[in-house]
Amino acid sequence: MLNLAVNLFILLGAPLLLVGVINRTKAIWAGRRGAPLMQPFHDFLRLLRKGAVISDTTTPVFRLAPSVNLAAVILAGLLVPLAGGGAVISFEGDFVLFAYLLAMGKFARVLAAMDTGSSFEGMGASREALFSGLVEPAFFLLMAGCMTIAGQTSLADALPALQRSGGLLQVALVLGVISFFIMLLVEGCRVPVDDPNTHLELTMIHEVMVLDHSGPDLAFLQYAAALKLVIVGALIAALVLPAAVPLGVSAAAVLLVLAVVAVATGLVESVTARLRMTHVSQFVFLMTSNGLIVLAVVLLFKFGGLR
Amino acid sequence: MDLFVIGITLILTGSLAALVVPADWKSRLSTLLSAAGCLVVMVGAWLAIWSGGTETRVLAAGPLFGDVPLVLDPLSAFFALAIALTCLLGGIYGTGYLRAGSDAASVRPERLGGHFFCLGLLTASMLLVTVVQHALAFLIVWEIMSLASFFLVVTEHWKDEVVDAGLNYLVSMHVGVVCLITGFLFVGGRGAGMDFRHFAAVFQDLKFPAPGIFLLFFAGFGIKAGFVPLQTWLPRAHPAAPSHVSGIMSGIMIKTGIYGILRVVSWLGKPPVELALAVLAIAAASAVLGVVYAIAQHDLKRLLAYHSVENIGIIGLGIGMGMLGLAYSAPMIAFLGFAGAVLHVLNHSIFKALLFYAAGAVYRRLHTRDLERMGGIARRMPVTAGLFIVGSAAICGLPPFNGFVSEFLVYAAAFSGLVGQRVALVLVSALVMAVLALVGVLALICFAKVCGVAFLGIPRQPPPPDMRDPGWSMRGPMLLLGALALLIGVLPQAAVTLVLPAARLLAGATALPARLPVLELLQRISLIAAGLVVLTAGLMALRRLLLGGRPVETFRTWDCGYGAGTPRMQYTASSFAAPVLALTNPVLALETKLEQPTGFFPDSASFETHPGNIFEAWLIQPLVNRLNRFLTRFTWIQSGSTQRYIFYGLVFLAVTLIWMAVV
Repeated sequence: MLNLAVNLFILLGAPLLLVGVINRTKAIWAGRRGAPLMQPFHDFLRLLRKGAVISDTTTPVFRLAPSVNLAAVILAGLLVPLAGGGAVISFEGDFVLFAYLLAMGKFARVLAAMDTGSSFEGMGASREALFSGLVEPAFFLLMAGCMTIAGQTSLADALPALQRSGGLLQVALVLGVISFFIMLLVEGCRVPVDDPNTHLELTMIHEVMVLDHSGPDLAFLQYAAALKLVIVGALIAALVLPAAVPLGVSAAAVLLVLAVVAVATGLVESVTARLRMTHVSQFVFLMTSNGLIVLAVVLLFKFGGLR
Repeated sequence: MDLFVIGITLILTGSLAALVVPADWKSRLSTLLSAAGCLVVMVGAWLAIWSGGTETRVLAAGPLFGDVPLVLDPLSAFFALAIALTCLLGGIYGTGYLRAGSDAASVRPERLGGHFFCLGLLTASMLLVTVVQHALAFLIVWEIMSLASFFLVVTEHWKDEVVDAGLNYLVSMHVGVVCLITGFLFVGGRGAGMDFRHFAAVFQDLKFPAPGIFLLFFAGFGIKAGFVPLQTWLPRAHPAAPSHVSGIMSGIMIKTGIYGILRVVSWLGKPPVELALAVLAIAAASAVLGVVYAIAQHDLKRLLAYHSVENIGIIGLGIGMGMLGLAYSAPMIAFLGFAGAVLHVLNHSIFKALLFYAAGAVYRRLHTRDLERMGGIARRMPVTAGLFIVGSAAICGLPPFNGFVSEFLVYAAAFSGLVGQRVALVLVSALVMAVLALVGVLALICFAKVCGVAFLGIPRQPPPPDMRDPGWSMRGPMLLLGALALLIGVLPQAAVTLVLPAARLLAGATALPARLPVLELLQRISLIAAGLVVLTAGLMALRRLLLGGRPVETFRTWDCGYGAGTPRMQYTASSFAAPVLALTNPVLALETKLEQPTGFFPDSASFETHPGNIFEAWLIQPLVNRLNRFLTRFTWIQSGSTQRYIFYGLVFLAVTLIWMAVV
């Protein structure tokens, strides 16, 4: 029960803090003091208290989508292992449901964007659908690698398997971390895939899709986007952290990994520019090739006798 | 079995009644009888699945046929249930669909008799296909099914494109039948006769070339099902047919091909690994290419037709995993693969019929299938649009709808293969998972495009004055299908009980534990799916609470401050699909027509793309051309003069007589 409470607390409490850490990192790198860490919280609460302006071309789909998106992302979060080596809900094959819940959220966001009839939002929707779509096959390849080593098929059991066996699998582990970090950049819409700070509609992906949302709807969308950072960050944590440690230590370690991931995201954002749109798919394909290499390494390790 | 026979009798009565009663009564009486028959069959099929046993009745059908066994086993019962459900709702939708077309381009009431006659005949023949276990009788009902559906496809026979599509379909079906006849002759020649119940023994005889004959049957049934590269009839015939016929054909008639393949699998016993891999490869190609072609399409019904190819591919992946499980003596993998495939048959028949019916409702109002001319339909037809979006989410396999459940079972077959100790199985399972994921992603892009461009946004053309949701005869079946899609998605553990007996039958019942662990997984999925519905409702309530008492204004969409947004500025279907098409160009055979602007003051420019089909362009067309060239040499035979034809008859008679005298 305590485990459940700690997990839910991290899952629902950390997202906006993580955005604060990323922004603070970028500010420090740029030589500024930056906004307080809790600024995203204040923004979130302010949005919740506001009214809304809704486009006159829209249908109920536009109003429903932010709630569907947030619900789907929260439920996907329940399947991800956090503190204490377990997820809130865990079962064999939960990674399939996890991926498809994220897809359901994306479907809702894309439809809401198309509902405004704006060419910018259509453009963002088309890009988001493709780029975060390309992540999925790669994610399944990575999971296949982990599951083959673990002999188990739930996220919580399969992910920690790569670090346990050592040897050649260290390669797979490193590639796995890199791949999930790419997934974080894509799902979280960060540089070099998308630039959350751009002010030119043509170059935005996620930000342009939510241009017409306001008030609580926008709050839901922004919270869901931040939650996805925590979710994918938690996948990285599960990959690198040992599973069987006391709850308190484990919770602290997960938070630490999340903080490191946030700082890394901020640093990447500070030192690189956004890729050209035509090159983004190639960047995401890096994750697919990583997935194939991980699978090959795992097969060599398990069946080829290579250590 | 009794209920089954009563049901088919009712359907056939309705079918014949359509020919004889006065014009006003044709559609009502025939649909009523057919619906009653379908309901009776559904009850019978459900009871048969529930009992889990096999009922056999042998008809003594004269000297030509001998004894014709009618067998209702769990597999037949499951398909009969799905067929009866789809035809029941399709028939009701059809009465509304044909009535709604009071414009010049629709069927005249006195011609409806033939249409409903064929519809009843199609229903009855599909149902019979699932139970007749006698090669000759099977081929006859199979042929009746093909012919009835051919006449339904060419309902609007005054359009050239419809006749073309119909003839293409007819020819394709007969190429398939040739494969089936050859297959049956091979098996029958080994002393099995015509009775399917003796076929398993022949297939398991070591000297029998079982894999080759399996592939022959696979080709024959695969043309019906629409596996790549035999799918070329599908994207033509579905758009040409009226929407209720498209729904029935795409939803369930092509699945009779899947039934045939599964029946042959049940004879096969333990297949060689290579055969399972071949099935997996064909299925993977069908799934990926089907959805890629669909993304390139801007004709709504043709796009849906290509999605049938994709879903047949997913079903094929399930069958392939099942066969792989059998080949490696891993009954649990086999069970999960077959269960996923069989459940996807039902699920696809639900959401694909729903999508075709919604598309038909739109077509009846707009008289176009071109996505680029639609837009903003949801504002005028909210129910239709909402149901289309539900169907889209279901076909993309998104929870909480039914598509997810069957895809999860196929995934489950794959990840059960991962934890095993066989390197080939691990590799194949990982690739199957990646293919399923890729297909899911592409399907999502495709349906985001359709829903976004056609149903949401601003109309691209002024909507006609009668643009509103269809009447209850069309709306009712759509609502019911949408509800079923959600129900199966939220209560998968209940839906899966329908496929358990069939999957046990295919996977070899003895090797499986009585209590299956997959049921517990489905309970967790049910929990999350229900959680998604409840949490969404909760968040919507929270949103309402937060916005209550605060100003909620409507304003035009943000357009960089210009305030002059027009429908022409909306993102089009082509633009939405362009990034994906850029990646998939090599398999598309995309035809582009570009007229570039020239001069300092260009007055016109245009750009068009027409997605082709590599199998048609590189495989089928060259083959047909070669055949045509060869056959042209014999055109002198067909001279057109009656005397010459009488002469041919005489020659034939003389040769026959001489031959009989000699032998």
